[in-house]
Amino acid sequence: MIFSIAVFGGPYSSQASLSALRFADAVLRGDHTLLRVFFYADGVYNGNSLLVPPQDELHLYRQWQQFSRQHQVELVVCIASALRRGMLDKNEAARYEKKNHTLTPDFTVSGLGQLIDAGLQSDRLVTFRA
Amino acid sequence: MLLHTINKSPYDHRALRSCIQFCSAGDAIVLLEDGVYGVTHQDLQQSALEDIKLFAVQADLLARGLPDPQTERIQIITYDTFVALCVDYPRIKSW
Amino acid sequence: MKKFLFVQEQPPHGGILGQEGLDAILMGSAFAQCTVLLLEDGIYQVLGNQQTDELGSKDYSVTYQALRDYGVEQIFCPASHLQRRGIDIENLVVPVQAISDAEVTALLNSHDVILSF
Repeated sequence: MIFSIAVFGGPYSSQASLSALRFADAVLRGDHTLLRVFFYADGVYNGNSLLVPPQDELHLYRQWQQFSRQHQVELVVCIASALRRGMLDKNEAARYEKKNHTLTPDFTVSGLGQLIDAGLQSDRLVTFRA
Repeated sequence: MLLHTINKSPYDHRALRSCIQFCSAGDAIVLLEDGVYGVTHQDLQQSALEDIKLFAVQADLLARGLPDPQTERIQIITYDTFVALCVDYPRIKSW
Repeated sequence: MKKFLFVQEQPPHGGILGQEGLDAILMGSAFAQCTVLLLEDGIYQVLGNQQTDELGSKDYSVTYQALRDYGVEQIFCPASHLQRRGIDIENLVVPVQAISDAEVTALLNSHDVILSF
C-alpha cells in the first residue's frame, strides 16, 4: 500500500513527531511505500536544523534527516505554516531579508496542496496530531 | 469500518469520549502516546464497545511505566501491527 | 473522486490550528469533494459576533461564508455538541446542519480521507 504521514505537532512539545517517525519506520518494514511526510501547523518546527538537544537525549531533527536520506522519503514542510513560524530555507530567508535560515534542503518547502495530493495519491493518510 | 487513533489522556481530554460517541460496530481504536492512560479508564469498560476492537501501543505503555492491563479486551501492539491495522481499515480518524 | 472530510475541533483565537484547518479546507476544495464537520469546540469557529479589534487576532469566521463559492456546501455539527454549549444555531455565521450521533457516524464512514484539526 501507499502511505503518507501528516505531522501536526512540533518536536518535543508533543509526541507527534516521535510517533510519526516510529510509524514511518514501520511502514517501510512492512514493505509499503511511503509517498511523503507532510509537516503542517506546528509540525513545521520539525524542520528546525538549529535544534541542539542534550547529548544523551533524542535528536529528532537528526533522526528525520537520517530517515529521509536513508530511505529517500520526501519530508515536506508547508510554506504558509513555516513562514508564520520562522521556518525559512535559504531562499525564503533571502526573500524576506532575514539574517539566517532554519530549514536545510533535507526538508522541502512546498504548498498545502501537497497534503491534499498525499490524500489523493495514497491508500492511507495517517495524521499525528499535537 | 473505521480505525480511530487516540493520543490524549481521557483523564484530561474529551478525545476518547468523543470517539466512543461516534464509533460503530466493527471499528477499532488504537491508544497511543498519552492515550494509553485510557487502558484502565471506565469509558472503555462499556458494553457498548463490545463490537469494537481495542489496541494500545506497547512502547507507549512501557515508557509510561504502565503495567500490561492483562485483559483480553485490549491487545498490546507494536508499531508494525499498527501499520497492519491501517492496511485493514479503509479509513482512519485521529482524535 | 475521493471524498475528504475535514473535522474542525479547535475553538478560534486560542491558537491558529483552527485557521490552518480552514486553509486546508480551502486547498482541498480545489482538488476534491469536501465536507466539513465541526466537532466539540470547533463549533465556536463559526459563532457570530466575533469582535477581534481589541485583541488584534484575525476573525476568520467570515471565510466560512465564502466556502460555498469554493464548492464546500455541507457543514455539519452534532446537535449534542451544540446543546452542551448552549449554542443557538441561528447565531452561527454560516448555515450548519445539526445532525444526530448516528448521522455523524455515517458521515465519518462515507468519506475516504479524514483530516482532523
